[in-house]
Amino acid sequence: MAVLTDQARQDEWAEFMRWASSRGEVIGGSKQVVRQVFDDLDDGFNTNAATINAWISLPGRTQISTAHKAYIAARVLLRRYADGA
Amino acid sequence: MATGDTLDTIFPENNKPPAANYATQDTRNNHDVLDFDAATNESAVFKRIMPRAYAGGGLTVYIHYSMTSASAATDIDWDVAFERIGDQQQDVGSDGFATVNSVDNTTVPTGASGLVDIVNVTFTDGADMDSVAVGESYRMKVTRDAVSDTAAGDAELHAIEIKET
Repeated sequence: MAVLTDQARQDEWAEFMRWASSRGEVIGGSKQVVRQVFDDLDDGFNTNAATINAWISLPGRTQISTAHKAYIAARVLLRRYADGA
Repeated sequence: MATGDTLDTIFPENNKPPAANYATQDTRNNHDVLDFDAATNESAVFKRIMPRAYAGGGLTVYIHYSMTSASAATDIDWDVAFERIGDQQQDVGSDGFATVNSVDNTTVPTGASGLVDIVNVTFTDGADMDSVAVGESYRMKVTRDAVSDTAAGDAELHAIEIKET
């Protein structure tokens, strides 16, 4: 999969700031800095997709769909770094 | 009334939002506010009557706002424009706002989210304020220039004061 389109990154960036504001959360940095984080992470996932997939042992690597692996990754990331971290 | 006196005070409940890209109603600790997005230029529109006390001078529009999420030393840009409705001056079937005046690159409060900052935009009498005259109705549009500023998250509009300059 290629990197997200610029519009997709823009949409996610905007939605993230709305989500943070709706929760009254303070964002540490300008919105341009926040946008760069989206760009860097998407570029990083694009460059390292095969490496990240290889973290998953068989048979899960091949039996679980890409979408479900993405959901699982998101849940692990949120539990580790966001929810109650 | 004369120079330096308050002509009008305006609050979020006075907003008549535009059809698209409008600031949204919200409350913060039971304070009514209008939320202006950080990624899209959003506006609020207020229809008023120029008070009989207006002596024909320029105007200073004071914007009272706070930020929801901004913390770092970032800035915010506001635009203000007037539309004279008057006595057979504006066909209200369409918009006729004059060119915006702005207050740009204001560093947002960083001491605590929720501190209200006051900035002002000045207008000279005449075309700058669409030649609004005493006793005439008019609209004033307030826009956060989110495309140009750097503060993250929503800006919260609390109140506006219009003073005769």
